[in-house]
Amino acid sequence: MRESRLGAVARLVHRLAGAILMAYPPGFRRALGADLLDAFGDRLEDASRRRPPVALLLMARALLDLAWSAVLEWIGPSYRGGPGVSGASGRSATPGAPPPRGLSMDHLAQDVRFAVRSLMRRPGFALVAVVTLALGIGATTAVFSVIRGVLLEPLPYPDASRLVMVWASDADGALTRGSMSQPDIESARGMKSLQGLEGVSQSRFILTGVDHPEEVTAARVSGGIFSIFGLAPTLGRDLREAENGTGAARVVVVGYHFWKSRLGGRPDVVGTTIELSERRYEIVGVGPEGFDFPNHAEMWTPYRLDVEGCGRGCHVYRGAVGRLAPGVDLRQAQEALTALSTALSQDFRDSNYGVALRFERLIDYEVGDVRGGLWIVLGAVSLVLLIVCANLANLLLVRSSTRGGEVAVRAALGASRGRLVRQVLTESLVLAGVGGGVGIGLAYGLVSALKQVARGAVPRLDQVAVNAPVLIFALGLSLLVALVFGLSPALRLARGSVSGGLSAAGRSGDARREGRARSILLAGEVALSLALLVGAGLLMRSLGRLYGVDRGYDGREVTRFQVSLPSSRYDSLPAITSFFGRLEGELRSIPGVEAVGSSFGPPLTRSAITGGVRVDGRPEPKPEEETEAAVRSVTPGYFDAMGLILLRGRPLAASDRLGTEPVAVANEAFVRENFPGQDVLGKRVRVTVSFGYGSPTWTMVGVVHDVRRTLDRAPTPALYVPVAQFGPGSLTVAMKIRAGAGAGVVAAARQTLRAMDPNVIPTNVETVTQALRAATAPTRFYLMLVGIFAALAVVLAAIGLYGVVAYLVSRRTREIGVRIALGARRGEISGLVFRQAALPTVGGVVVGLGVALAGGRIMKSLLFEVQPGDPLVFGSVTALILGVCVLAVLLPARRAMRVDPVCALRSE
Amino acid sequence: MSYEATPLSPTDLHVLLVLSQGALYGYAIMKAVAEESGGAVDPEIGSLYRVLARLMGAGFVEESSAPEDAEDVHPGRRRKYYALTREGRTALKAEAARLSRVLELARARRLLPEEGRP
Repeated sequence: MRESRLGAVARLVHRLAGAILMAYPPGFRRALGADLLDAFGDRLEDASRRRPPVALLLMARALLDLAWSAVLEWIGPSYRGGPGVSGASGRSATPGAPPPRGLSMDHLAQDVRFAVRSLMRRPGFALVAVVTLALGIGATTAVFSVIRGVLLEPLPYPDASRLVMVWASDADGALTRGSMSQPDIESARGMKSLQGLEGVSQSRFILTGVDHPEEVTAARVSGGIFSIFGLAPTLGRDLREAENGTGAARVVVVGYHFWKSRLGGRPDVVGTTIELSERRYEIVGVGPEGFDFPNHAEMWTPYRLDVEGCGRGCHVYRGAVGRLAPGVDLRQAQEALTALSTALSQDFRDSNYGVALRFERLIDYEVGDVRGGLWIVLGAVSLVLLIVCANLANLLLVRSSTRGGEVAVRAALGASRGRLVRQVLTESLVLAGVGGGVGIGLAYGLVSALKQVARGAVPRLDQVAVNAPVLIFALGLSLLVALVFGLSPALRLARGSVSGGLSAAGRSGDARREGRARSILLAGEVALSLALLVGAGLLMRSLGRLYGVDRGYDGREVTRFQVSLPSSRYDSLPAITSFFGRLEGELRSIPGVEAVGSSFGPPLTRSAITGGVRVDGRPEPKPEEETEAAVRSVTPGYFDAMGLILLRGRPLAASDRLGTEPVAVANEAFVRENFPGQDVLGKRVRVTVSFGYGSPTWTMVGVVHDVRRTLDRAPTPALYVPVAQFGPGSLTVAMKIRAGAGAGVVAAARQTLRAMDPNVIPTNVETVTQALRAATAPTRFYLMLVGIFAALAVVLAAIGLYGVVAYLVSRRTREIGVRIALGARRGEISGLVFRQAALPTVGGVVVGLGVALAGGRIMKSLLFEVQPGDPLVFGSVTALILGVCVLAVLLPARRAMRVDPVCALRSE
Repeated sequence: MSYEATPLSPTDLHVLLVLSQGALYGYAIMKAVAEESGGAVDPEIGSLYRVLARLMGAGFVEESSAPEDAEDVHPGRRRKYYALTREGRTALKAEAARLSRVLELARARRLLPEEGRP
């Protein structure tokens, strides 16, 4: 660890010490607090000069002592005010009177030794306590470390909180992160609240002119973006505004990693050229180290946009990134941006009607989608920890009543009540300390497991680690946990039921109060585990719904990859058509391939072309009445390869070429929206797109069943049109492969492609099944965590119930013996036992159902086509919980039935 | 009043012993106590300030101004200094006397080597 990091830890510990100081009695704090904190600072300063492990240990020791001293100061105050404290003049204390003996670290050591001895006498209890604590603290710490790294750690840029994205959203909020046009970005850039705004888009190039052409991830930008992030290029310069025009020379800024790994990190690289997709680009700069915005970009190049030809309706940028001016509040800035959007939509009705520009903090863009889910997971794991605490409090309560005699004897021998309370608190502290220590070890393992599981569901995982702040969290958590579960037994002692311990008779009032505390704790455990189980149940139903949704395509056994033809050579529809025609033909001849087809913007991808629908014979619609549709260009084999279902008319055919009548196949949603109740075949439509080779007027020849582009969104209107009549030169090729023939086919396909054109390489190779798994990754991630925590909770609650009932049975052995001797039937005896557990169980279930109903609403954002109050989930979870409770009570009940009355009566 | 019946705790004793050399500030007391006791008494800050509060309450220790020759180990910070009172010195002397009687007893019973001999 570097010294500066130790310094940061020391500062954090100092702040924590300040917080702990607030827990001291006010008199002590006022008289000595400030000076104590100064001395603590000295201590930390000295400690941080040591080697890191020693330093951390010393800091932890100082912090623990401070917290412990706070507890001691409340129990046995050392500070009694008086002039001796407030100033040098006059002393009221009797001269020479011995100082009252207080409590110190010496006593702590003694207490700890005693606690350890006392715990060792009951190894079973100690083991259960340590294991459950370790599980609870370890899991909570692991989840917290994910939250800290992903959500709480600022982005690695100077003043990162001022970085924002600008999106074009719908006025009705259906589209929240819509793409931006160049003129809209320029309009927004003029706002006073912004310091710089540039459009960004993700793009891919093939690095050509080398022996093995490779794919590179690039970003198309409207200008240099490093200064927005407060960064400077490593070499050369950033891109310039003027370089973003069709006539400008091709220039590129390469990323630091690309420069080091592909260009050998040569210092004279600026001014040289590289070939991207067969076009030469001059390198004008090297980006800052570690910078890869957006989306792992390896290089940045201007869009070279034809602004005249592609105006406000031409949303080519994925979004825009900018920096708020210093001191500008996001809400004020949004008000100004909304006013601007309104003005634009009035001035440019055709292109901007209903377009609302929207700010989003960059951190929210990066992690906003998982924020709610991760906090819910932390909530779930905290509930588990609460159950652990309730369990231990219950076990300690039981223990303290069985220890009544011991405690009473010690009290009679002169141990002060404070001392006894401390004894119990020390035991909980020792347990929590050991449990926390094991838990931290566990957290290391859990974090790496979590990172595995969360891959694809949670961004920024590289920031997640068990580090100093996480360790301090775990330490604080252990202390808190010890107080939570140690408090009720300690308070019980403090209330002074010690005298009752000596006389066996003096127990009715205490026993009732104690029984009530136990019942409440048990009911709490049952309630919390039920709530967690409901959460898991709702997620499981969501996942089932996601998998069971009518996708509109088959996709099993389909492997797909993306092919982008360099526009330098494939510059016409015939060139593109003939390449894909040949490629598909060769792929079909690979053994194991059953069908092949290509498309632009297939399901579970981002790319889409959309535009306004114009129907032949109807007047031009007003902007507010315009309907939108997606244009999906496909090759004739696509319907077969993906298993789309044709409902009417004919599919697209190889005979639909350039020169023949342009045709399209509509989906059901398109028909519903534009031709409700009409025969659509033969109708002629156009879509206003300025993409590919433009939109002709298409005659509709068929209708297919709706296809869901993403699993959780309803299908939207779309037209399938022939690649041969529309383009573009970048398509996803889908191969339906016979089961079991997968791996060899992909290798053969790569070879085919290389033989046809070495500069065309397949990218994003995946099976549709993999894409489906990726699409369900977040739901599966949350389900897995909440499911594990729910299972843990149920087991813990069952253990708690079992432990308490077993204890009650053992305490009533004599009574049961008498009843059996008097002729009670087995059923009556087991009824007696079940009645003990019935109230907390049923009460817990009722409360738990309420908690789950309230909690389900929080989870709503994670659910898909499942209501938070789903009766099936609630019903089955309630049945499950009741079943588990019955099982937990069954064992002690059987033992009660077998009580031998003779033994029972003799035992006392 | 005699102290024999109520001996000082080791930490109290060492704090008073350290302050008998002159006024010191909190962290310096902590370090000196650990050093003079050979590490046998090694209070942390939290515990130390409770001891100081108690000793001040008993009138053995008082806040004082920094001594003239105080070396500033942590420059830029203003420290409270703590000094032994007259009562504190009396108590410390009495405790030392008590301890020396303990030592005599221990020697007489051959638990310790005679004075002057290894």
